[in-house]
Amino acid sequence: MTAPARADALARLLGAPPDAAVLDADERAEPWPEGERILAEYGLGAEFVPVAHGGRLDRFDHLVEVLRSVYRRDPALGLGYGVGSFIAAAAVWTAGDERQTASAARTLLSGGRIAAAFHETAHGNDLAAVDCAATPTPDGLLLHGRKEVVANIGRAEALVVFARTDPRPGPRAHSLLLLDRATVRDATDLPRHATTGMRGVLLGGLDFDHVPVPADSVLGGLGTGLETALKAFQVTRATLPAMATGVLDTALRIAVDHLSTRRLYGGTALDLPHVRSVLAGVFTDLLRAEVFAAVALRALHLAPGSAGLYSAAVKIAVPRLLLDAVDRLADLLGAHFYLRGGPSGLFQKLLRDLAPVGFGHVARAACQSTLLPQLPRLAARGWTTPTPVPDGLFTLDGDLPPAAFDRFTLHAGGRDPLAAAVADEDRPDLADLAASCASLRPADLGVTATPAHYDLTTRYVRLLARTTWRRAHLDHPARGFLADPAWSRAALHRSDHPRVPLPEPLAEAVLGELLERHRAGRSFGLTARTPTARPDSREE
Amino acid sequence: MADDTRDVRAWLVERVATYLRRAPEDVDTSVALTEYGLDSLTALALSADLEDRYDLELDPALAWDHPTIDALAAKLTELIGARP
Repeated sequence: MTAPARADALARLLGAPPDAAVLDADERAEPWPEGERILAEYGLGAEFVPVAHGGRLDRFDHLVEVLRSVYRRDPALGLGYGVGSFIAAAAVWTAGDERQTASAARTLLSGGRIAAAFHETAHGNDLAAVDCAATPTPDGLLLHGRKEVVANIGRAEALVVFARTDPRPGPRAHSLLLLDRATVRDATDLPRHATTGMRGVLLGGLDFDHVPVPADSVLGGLGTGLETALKAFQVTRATLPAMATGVLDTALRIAVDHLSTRRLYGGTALDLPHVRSVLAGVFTDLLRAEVFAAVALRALHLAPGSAGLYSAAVKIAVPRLLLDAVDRLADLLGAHFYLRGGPSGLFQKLLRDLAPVGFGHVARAACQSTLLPQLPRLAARGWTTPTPVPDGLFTLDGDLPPAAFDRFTLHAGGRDPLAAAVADEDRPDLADLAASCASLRPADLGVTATPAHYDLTTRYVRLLARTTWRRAHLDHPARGFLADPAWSRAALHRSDHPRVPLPEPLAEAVLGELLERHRAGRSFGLTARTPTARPDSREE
Repeated sequence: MADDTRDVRAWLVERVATYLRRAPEDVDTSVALTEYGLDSLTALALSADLEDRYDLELDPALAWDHPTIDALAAKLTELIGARP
């Protein structure tokens, strides 16, 4: 995959900040000021606005690649400056009318922020239980209640609030409101939440005290809040974990920098077979995460009716790949992963900043709850009479139609074009899974499902991911590392035997690519970009 | 028409009873499915079932907008009747 030119332009603007500047801001739990200034100058908000509304968002994979330029340097800057605005804006692009989309676009294009006020501490991911109420009155709505753990809520120019508009239970009881912060009076800022990682992100809350809001602030009609959120999340569940691969990219660079200069037993640490094997595995896992995410991002354009399956699958699989990989790097670094200064001092921050990729925005378990009720229908319909694979789904460099938010559906209705591409070798596993799913009853599939039932989603996600790794290799143009059979063999080995080291010749082939990229100052992800993110060591 | 509604409703009762592991006579057709503990994402699966049973293309949110068996049966009967 090639990066859009603007991802490189932003990387150049950010340059190679000294680790100390980023770490100082982290120690103070403040946004990195120079980084915020650069993102404002670049106009990051325009990345979140579709071209049709005057912004630069034309492809979801390009949005991700631009944000990786930020996440490679400071994940808290990426999340804290703006990604929260994208979560909020996705709801507006999904359900907003012309006036509402124009208003949100103006806010973002002029450098403003929109806070995504969905969350209430008491209810976690259980959106249907949300209490903050917007009660319809003759003049509009009266907003009352609290929103907590919301990025930038204290300084955002606009808010998207998920509120209860019907006291009865059920999926039509909530609505999304787009509010101009300046018109929201009688709301009290709640104390900031301190966090272990992503310390520079300003997480706050608001307590609304019977705030009158206009009726035309409702996005997409009363009662559509849950539907809109579930559709908009199909975009954010795929894009946010995909951006976070930039964190592992930099962590891997720090590890190779350190290990290639560390003298041990008459050589460098990089001469040790165990070290070489772990690094090869981590590099493979970084690419596994990026390839799976890249196909899911392409599906948002090419198979929007089924894209919710793959977004949920990415949110389940990619954080696990990244978190496990960075932990293995920490093992290699030993004491150096624990130091808060020095040449490897950024590593401990990356480790902390990466953790929320697993639970942030939407928890993995919530994504399993999206997939589980769909499995019986997929087994009965999608896996026996396959939906055709859209052209170019696996051609990661291929063109895409413009990003759109109006074609996502609440469920895939059993249509699964990715499953149609499952390789012959994995067909027996898919048939086994289908047999297990056929006997499921809906009563087994809610949030109270047993671990054995949740495990069915794990098996399904694994089959999807393996399909993307194989096909991205087969469909890749005959250059670059994805075209190398070593890549697909390593990817499938890591999937088949997660705890068995790669066979030595395979590990050496993968490591050769890693070290060559490291020497040339190229990034380790799909785009192998230059200059790389690593502060202090890149070539410009 | 009335016969059709009865037929659709009977099928739905049988289906929902299977979903919920209840006897069909214990399913009240005027009570919202979510009140029987069918969560909102699981309720969506019902429209895919109905698509296969009646060979219709249905709004994925059908079971959200017609939350009881009575309401679903009425809507389905209407859609079946409107079929060319």
